[in-house]
Amino acid sequence: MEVNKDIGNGIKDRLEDLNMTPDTMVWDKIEIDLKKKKKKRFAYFWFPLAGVSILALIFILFNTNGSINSKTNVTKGNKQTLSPKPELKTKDLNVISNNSNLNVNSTKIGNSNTTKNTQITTANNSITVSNSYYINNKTASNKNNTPYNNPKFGTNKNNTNIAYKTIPKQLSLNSSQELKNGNGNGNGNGNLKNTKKTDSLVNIKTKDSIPNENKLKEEKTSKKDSINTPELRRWSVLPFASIDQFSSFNHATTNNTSSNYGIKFNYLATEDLSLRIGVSKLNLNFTTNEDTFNFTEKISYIEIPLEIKQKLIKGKINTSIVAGISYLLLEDASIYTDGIPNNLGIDSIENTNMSINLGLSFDTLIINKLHFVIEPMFKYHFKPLENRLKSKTYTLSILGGLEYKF
Amino acid sequence: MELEQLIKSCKRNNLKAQGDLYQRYKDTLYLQCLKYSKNKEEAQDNLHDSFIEIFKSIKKYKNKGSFEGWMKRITINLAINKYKKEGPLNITINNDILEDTTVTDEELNLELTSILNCIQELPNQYRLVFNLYQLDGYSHKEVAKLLGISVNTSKSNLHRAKVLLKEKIIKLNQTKPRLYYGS
Repeated sequence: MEVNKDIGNGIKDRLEDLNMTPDTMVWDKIEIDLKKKKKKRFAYFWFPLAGVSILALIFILFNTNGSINSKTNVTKGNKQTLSPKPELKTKDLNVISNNSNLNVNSTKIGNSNTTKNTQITTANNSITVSNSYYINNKTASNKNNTPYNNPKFGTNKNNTNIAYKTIPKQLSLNSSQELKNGNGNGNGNGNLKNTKKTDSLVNIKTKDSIPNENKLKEEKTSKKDSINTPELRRWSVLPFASIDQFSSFNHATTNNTSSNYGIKFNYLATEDLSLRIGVSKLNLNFTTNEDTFNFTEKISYIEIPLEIKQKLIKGKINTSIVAGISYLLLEDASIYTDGIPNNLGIDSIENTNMSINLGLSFDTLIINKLHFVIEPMFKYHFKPLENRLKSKTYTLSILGGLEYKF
Repeated sequence: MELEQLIKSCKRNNLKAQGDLYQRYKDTLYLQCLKYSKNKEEAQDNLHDSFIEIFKSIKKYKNKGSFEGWMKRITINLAINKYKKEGPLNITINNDILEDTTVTDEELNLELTSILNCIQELPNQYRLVFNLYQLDGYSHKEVAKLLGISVNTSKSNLHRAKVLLKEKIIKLNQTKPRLYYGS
């Protein structure tokens, strides 16, 4: 007797024995597509690196500008001292600058009791002398009848090198001796024809050192002032947590309270402008309603923000404006339909995304070096989080954290 | 290579590992695609899309549950998405809703590809419901949510699919030489 069975169960049993193999061209096509994707991924990979590089470049530029400015100041200072000698050229000033550094060190060797201020004085004297020597030497070389008319000193170019290499030690010793004597007296007249190299240097230096004393005192005072001014703490670190409201301009979302936590590093480029980079974990959580079903999506991104912060108001509570971009790398995603996980449409979630960030930052000093920070922020995503919805999404967030400056 | 190691390598986008994974699961997933598709060509397209999606999403796989099951779900979801894009079907429920849907083993003693063809010839939504409920073990509630239909629609679609299948199988029995089951 034949037994009747449900056709569904019967087919299921029969199909368990079915074995079929796809054509080889399927893998060939997959392989081609995977190679294409690899190239794409490579391009994406450079986004955050490019961002970090730009930031690093800005740091370097600011630092270089800072050091250039300080060098310029030194040169300017020397230029003032040397103003009676208009024939000095830029190249000469460079040599001066170098000698200045060398002499400061030499003075330390020559007189260990010399104070910081004395060192500055010595350095300035040395600079003056060095230049005098160089200029006179130049003159001597032109005249071709000086003891300095040595093959070694044959050209101005050579003189430059000699001044740079050989003079400082001698100068420093002389400067130190003079400081010990405390008279700065000398009878030198800059006559290089009948004096030895060291003598002429001493003489010339002595002549110049007297009128410089007032200027040096002024400089000393200003140096003291600058020492008393508190140093800018250029770096700061901000561990933070934020509550984010995830929304869309063209789709209604509910249960959209999300969170973000991480760390930001801040570099104060100027007194009011700072640059910052960070890394955080963004957990987006939202529900959309489609065809009477609620789709809840939980998406985690690693966020790398690159931002500029400009101080607007200084006071007990400092106010700044913050602008920048964030690079978002997908970490995890899951989709639930009415609470049941199905991951339907998970394939349409973008692996990478970017957002443009704009907000305000309020910070107040709690205790030494430690500030409390609150930042309301608006972030607009460049791409829809998932292609399925084509949403124009954004987040509104309130960030809170403690910023430690060092 | 152990499956765990293979998955790790695939997560690093190692092409050789991806090739090995494809070789290991291509037949299983192809069968899945065949059941949900209208024909062989469409099934191969679905298989291609499924593996691309699997390699793209493999970083999200957290070693929880069966890896094969995870891949099958991706394949099913892609198949569903494909036919959902075509829009809902206007299916009228006939009076034959109470028709008997049982068959004998002898009637089912057909070539396997013929049985597969019967499934592939079903209207899209019937085929999806039949596959999801009957062959892949989803509940009517889950089927309804996946396809965006009501539970009752899912139930009636399943019954209608079975009626259509029975008609086709009886027709095949009348026109084609039978094979002995188990031979």
